[in-house]
Amino acid sequence: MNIRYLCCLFLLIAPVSASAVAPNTLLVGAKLFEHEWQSQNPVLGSDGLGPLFNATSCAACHRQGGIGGGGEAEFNAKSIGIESIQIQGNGLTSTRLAEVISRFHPGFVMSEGSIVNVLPLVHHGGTELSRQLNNAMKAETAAEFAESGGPVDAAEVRIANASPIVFEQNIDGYQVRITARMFGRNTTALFGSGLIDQVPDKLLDQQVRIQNHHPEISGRPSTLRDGRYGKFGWRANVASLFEFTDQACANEMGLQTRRKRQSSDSTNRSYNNVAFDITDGQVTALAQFVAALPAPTQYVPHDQAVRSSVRNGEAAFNRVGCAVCHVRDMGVAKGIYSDLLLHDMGRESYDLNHAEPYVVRRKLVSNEVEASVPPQPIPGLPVPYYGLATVLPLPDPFEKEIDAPPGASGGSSFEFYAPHQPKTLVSFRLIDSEWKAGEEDKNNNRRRSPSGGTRVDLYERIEMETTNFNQEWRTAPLWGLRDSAPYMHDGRAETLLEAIAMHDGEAAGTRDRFLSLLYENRQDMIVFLESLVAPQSNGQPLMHAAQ
Amino acid sequence: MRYVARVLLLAMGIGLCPFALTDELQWSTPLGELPGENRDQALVVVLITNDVSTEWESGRVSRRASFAEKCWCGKSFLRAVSDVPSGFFHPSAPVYWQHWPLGLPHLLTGGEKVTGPGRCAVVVTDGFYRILEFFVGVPDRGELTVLIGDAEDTRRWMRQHTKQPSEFTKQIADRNRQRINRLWKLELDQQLVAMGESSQQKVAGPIEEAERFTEEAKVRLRPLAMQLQKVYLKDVQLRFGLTELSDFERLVILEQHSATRLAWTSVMAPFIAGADLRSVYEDLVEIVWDRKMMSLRRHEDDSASDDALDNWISRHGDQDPFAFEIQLPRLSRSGQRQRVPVSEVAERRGLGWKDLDSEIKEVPIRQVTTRELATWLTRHERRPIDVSRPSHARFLFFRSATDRPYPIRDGEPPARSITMIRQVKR
Repeated sequence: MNIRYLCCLFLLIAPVSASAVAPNTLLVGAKLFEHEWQSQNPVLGSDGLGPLFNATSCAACHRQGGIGGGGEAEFNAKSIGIESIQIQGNGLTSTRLAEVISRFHPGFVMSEGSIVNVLPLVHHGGTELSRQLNNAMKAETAAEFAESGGPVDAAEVRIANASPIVFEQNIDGYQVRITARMFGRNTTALFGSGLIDQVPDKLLDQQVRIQNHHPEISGRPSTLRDGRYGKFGWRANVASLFEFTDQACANEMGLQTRRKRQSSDSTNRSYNNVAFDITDGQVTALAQFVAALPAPTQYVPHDQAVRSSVRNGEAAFNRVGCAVCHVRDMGVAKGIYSDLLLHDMGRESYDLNHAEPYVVRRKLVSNEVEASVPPQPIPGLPVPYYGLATVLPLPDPFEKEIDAPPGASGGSSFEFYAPHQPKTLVSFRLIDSEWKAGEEDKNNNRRRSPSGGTRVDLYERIEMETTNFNQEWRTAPLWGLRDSAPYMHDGRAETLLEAIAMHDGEAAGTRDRFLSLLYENRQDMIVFLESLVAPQSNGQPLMHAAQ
Repeated sequence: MRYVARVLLLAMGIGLCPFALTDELQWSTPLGELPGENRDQALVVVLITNDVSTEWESGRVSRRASFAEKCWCGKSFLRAVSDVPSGFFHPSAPVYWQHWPLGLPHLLTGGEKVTGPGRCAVVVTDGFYRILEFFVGVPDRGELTVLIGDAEDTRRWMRQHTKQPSEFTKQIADRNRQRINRLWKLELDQQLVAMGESSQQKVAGPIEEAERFTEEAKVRLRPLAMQLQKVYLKDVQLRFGLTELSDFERLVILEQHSATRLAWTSVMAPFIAGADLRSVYEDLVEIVWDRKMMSLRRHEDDSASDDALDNWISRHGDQDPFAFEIQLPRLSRSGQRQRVPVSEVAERRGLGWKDLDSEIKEVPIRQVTTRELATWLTRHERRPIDVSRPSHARFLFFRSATDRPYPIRDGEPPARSITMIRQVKR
């Protein structure tokens, strides 16, 4: 492919998003997008690709309808989510729990000791043991997987989804039963991402207000912990395209960035990457290249019958209510067909990397405490890439280090069930901390600390609303739809008909109205949806035009 | 391979411009004999729907209605026909179009004309009604072209292996295998193995012995369908998120789209190819629809066959009780499965289903087809009854020939019916 030609084409097609970017940056970004990363980066002195990675380049997965498009099911990112844990036996401590869970897969136990219920099952790399463990997990599902790592097609995605993974063992006197399931995320198309990045939050708020009056639909923004709205990713849990790119480097290719650590191999905890694998300049160039990818278009052939079908199909699309969530225009993102809000898609669409809890109110509160040492800098909030996992409650926080034999102490059983909704509806986030040395306070408003000072902590009190966060998904933009099969967050739907029929939850009424249309109207609607194609040049996908 | 026929026609210089004769589409009589001169090369495209035949409609208006008005998917079907390249329609290899409306008339649906979502299947046969291809749903743009192309391939393979039908079965299976996913491939292979191991298959008659060949296909059909049904239900559950029994109506609507049953038909087709559609269509359609349907009136049907039911009633005395038995649709005939459960107390008191079956078999009972029943109701100007709703009417009990039929339904506890039968018998 002629990268230079491709960049010129982008500049012609997407002048709005690309206007502020130097052509050379785009060229660098385009090259990086297709660059085949290797392990070891002598320039930066880092480990380069990996140790765990889903692909060796961005373009390996983002390829449908041209560079930057979506990916087939074979490129799906996979994860294993624990639905339930039941452990019978006395004296279970945190340490023991971690040991027991590690027998299932050590990746659920974090390096600092906490245990989470979701484990990304990265396609490639890692130690021999890591690969064996991952293969064992895949074998449990009875699905067939491609060389590239994901299920070979939508049918295999469905098999993987439908296969419960059950781990039952007696471990050192503890009767353990863990039920889990494989989940998948389909590669999203990146066309038009630069425009999505420019959609202001107020437009999302506007959609929320509109939907507040709707009897069935109630979308909500993905409220991130730092107060911003998320717009990227299936869970809309990433606020900006730059962060999305940054995280993709670290999570998909094991390219550690200044902000994001690469995925670590749980079977090789001592391993440490000593430097970044990709520079800020490179991440920026990549993000700017992606931002400059043109938005998809509508392609309607000259055939009068097809034109008529597209017209009727769009009318039916609006009539049955698809357009309530699949909003055609969101500011500069013309023809996006998404409100960028999260919607409950029903229980068949759950995934244990859940959406961000719905924050409805934030309030600043301060708290003054005695302190002997100045506060440590507040670390930046980790931004979850696939969505949040649930941290398991520890069986006995006071006996974390005690390694007692079964029956000695502690509870007689441990149970965990993955939550469907937030457990707590109020939380506090430390956002600032100020330490004051212990001197006489003239106003006598501050307590004197015998240990040397006081610390004033500024918290954000966060109030949340209950939602079924495992089954909330960002309304998938429909632009470029024809060139982005399979559909749904995990690529389980091979056809548009399947995708529509799988809409449930808030969308159940709309789905039923679609099904109650006359057959011809349903077909027209599918013809309309198929007219939404990847960016075109003379009716051909962009990649072909550039070749 | 499936485009061979098309390519041959192209080579003959006939061209592939879209078929523009839709308005002039000539519909031939269902089950009618085809003209002898081109029969060897002819194809019959049979559109089967659950529309009600005009035979059961009263008044002239309905009989004059156009095809698009008489067939729920007529407009879409004609559009699909218009997409078939004109090269497919050559005088020396004519395509005959037939519409078989097999919906139950209002006489058997409680007087209602609309009885649920539209159903559609397309079967392509040769000029002797031997099944070449089978398709469930309304063919979309291009699909009819592929179907006809496939039918030509099947016919060619059939001709190559007239003495060894299992060979063309394998060839169809090899082609269809490319179109289905791994689970369906496994199922197809299992069925092929089962067919090879079947002692019946080893002595299977050549294709020319149409009657014997068809009978063997019929014997295979129901167990094959029952096996495929399990895979199909799991498949659609995962593909369309159908999880509840109440989702059945959604499935029926989805089956209007060809992709829904494509894998099922791809696996089924090799095993019914070559069978005479005229003999197997009732089984086939009931299996796909899992609903009772109305068979077509055959040319050999005459008033004598219409009299058969009256004669049977007369033989048993007009004033005596009798019953008609209406069989469940083919796939649902697995014992007590669909009958509403009866409490143990009722069973002990002799008010269970077994008691009903033994009581009703003590009166003259005759199995009736939907055609016989509808004809009889028409003849005697009886009020419509609903044989399917709210649940299947397994029996119609008559105190006497002049009495109104009392439907005994699978969804209603049998106690009341048993009591009534016992009272009448006394």
